[in-house]
Amino acid sequence: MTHPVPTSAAGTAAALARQYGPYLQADWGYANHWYPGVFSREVAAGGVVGITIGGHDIAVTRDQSGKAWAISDRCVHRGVKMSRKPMCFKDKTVTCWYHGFTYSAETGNLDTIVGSPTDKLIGNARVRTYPTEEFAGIIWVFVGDEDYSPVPPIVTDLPMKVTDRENPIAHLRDPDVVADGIRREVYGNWRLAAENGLDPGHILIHRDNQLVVALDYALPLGLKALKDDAVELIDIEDGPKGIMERFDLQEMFEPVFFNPELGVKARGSRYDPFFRVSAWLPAGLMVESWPEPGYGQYEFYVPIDDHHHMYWEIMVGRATTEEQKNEFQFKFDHFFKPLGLLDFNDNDIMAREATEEFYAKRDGWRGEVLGDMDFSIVAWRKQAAKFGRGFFESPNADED
Amino acid sequence: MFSASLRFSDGVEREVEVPEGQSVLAAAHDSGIDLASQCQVGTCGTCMGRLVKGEASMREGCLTALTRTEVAAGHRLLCQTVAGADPVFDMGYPSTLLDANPLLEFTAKVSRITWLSDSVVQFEVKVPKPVGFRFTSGQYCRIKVPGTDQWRSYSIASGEHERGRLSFLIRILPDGVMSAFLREQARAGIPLEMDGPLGSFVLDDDPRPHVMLAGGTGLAPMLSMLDKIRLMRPAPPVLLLFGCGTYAGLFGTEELEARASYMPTLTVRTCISREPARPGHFQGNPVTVLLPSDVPADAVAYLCGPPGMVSDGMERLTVYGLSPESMRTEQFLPS
Repeated sequence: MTHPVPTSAAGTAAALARQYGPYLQADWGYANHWYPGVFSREVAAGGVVGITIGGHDIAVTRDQSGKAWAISDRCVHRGVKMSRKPMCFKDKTVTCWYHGFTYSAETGNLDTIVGSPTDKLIGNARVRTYPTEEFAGIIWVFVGDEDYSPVPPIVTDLPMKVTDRENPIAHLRDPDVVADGIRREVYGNWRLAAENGLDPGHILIHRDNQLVVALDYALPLGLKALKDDAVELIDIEDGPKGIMERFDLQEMFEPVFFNPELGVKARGSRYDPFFRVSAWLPAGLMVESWPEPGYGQYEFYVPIDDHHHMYWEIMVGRATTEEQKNEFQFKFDHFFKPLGLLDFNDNDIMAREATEEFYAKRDGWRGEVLGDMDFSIVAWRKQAAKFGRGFFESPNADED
Repeated sequence: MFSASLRFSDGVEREVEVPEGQSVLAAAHDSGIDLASQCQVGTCGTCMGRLVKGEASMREGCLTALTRTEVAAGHRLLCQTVAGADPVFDMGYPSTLLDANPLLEFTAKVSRITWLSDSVVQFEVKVPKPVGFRFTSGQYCRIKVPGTDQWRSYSIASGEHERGRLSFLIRILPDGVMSAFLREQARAGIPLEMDGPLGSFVLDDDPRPHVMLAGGTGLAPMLSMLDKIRLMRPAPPVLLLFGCGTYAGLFGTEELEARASYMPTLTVRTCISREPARPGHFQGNPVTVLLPSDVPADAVAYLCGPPGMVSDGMERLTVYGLSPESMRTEQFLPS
């Protein structure tokens, strides 16, 4: 025996699992949603960047007018990824580097073939296209069924605009938002990443992180939900769907600063009462007032396949003048990124990789034993089960 | 010789010349139109078409899966339909169904067996991806009972996107061959010969209010359909009436409660027919607990269960003002 699970707890896990059945089926992610695709700075006019979202290989390009387009990154001819070697001979087209198949970035139609301009395929073959939007320094892509209609407005798939506070963190569509961030591919199912992001029970892993120690941040050992509505279920009509952990309301969460059994005490003395975490369909997180008041962090756990996600870490602030923008950039380069996005979040990545092993190979979704601290995770699973618009499916031919 | 007209739910209409003595099903096949069918002898009910115009009669003396109510409502088994006068049949499924979901023979593997009540087992199998299995919610598969030459038909309970992990609900009978296999031999990893998908009892993409009547394991195709309806935007209202005889045999209550929690347009009414119903449940069967106010004039109804429940349900729905073209039915006999 390596992993003893009490029978009763295993039974409970199965009963609980039923409550969010569709979430458990979303191993490749939820289809028919908007996801961040690439940072704007990654795609020059005529450039091509390849990404994979929920098994969809997508080539993101930009025309000379600056507009971003997304088409399938699999050439119809021999199936290679066109993004392997970007090639563009004419505005608003993508040419496959292998045999010259040239597609319209707007329609996906095969417009010509470099060395075979009279081929009968021309005008009769195409790659599919994906809707795009661009703001906050990010090109967003709507990924799912090609005939999904109508395409929902992108605000339905972003964290909500905060309306209940005096100095809310910038929404990604606010005109004065300044944003910068990084993205990296991480081993681990997207759901484990999302759950790690919102998990109030996991802050122990950040106890010794540079940012926490340097800021003398009073990170509790844990956060205990006191009431059923400590986690608010948010369902805005024609708007975002998600859950919000009301860490900002003292009657909802009790920070745990001391474990008498172990004699372990929380460190630090600074505490920010505006700190708050919320998780959003399809795979986003909003951390308000972090790592300092006035700033916030957005994260997206974009499914690549069933075992990998693209981890997006974005810091936001507000700026209208050049000076404010430069100040944000300076703090991003020398504080937020090295201490927050890298050192602090590296611990979360370690946690996801460690979790993936159990969930992928040992039937963790049925074998897990959840406790009091997992209140928020269960709420998130239920909300995600309710509002996912469809399921990505493995495009691989050879799987059981 | 007579000429039959087949109307599919996607608007496609096909004409078939039917020679003397041949069935509409066989004649359609000979003219290159494959219709949903399985047993060819009038017992499985798969090849059902609904007569909406003209006349059509079935072979005398054949045992058929249709009740008198269904025949009166125009239902005909096309494998047994041999005579007529310019009949027009409403097929209730799209003309592309068989092309979209080709009938395949394949080997799957048992992945999990869960007893849901004293007489119902949830049976899950894995279908290898290279098989390329696809189905439409409501269709069924046949499974060869290991160690025998017997085949049994079961509706798929899992959603269309779960086509590599099929789930079935199986009623355990004291002397059924599949029941004996499930009780005594079945375990994860056993290979199973299967074919499918079969059947024309399929969900239309339809925004109208849905009324579903499910008796016992007739719940299976409804679960698959619910998975699809849930993702429709906007999701139409669904009233599901589900009945079992006794509490010992009742299953799926937690599953249905959960479904209603993540599918806000779903209302479930669970009923018990042969014992006093407990609070929260209804006394009777899915037909007797159906009220006139449950059936909006623009509703579409799906019925699956034993033949008696299906024909009673059709009669009741007719009394409540629903026309036969707004009813889809699938019945099964225990075996």
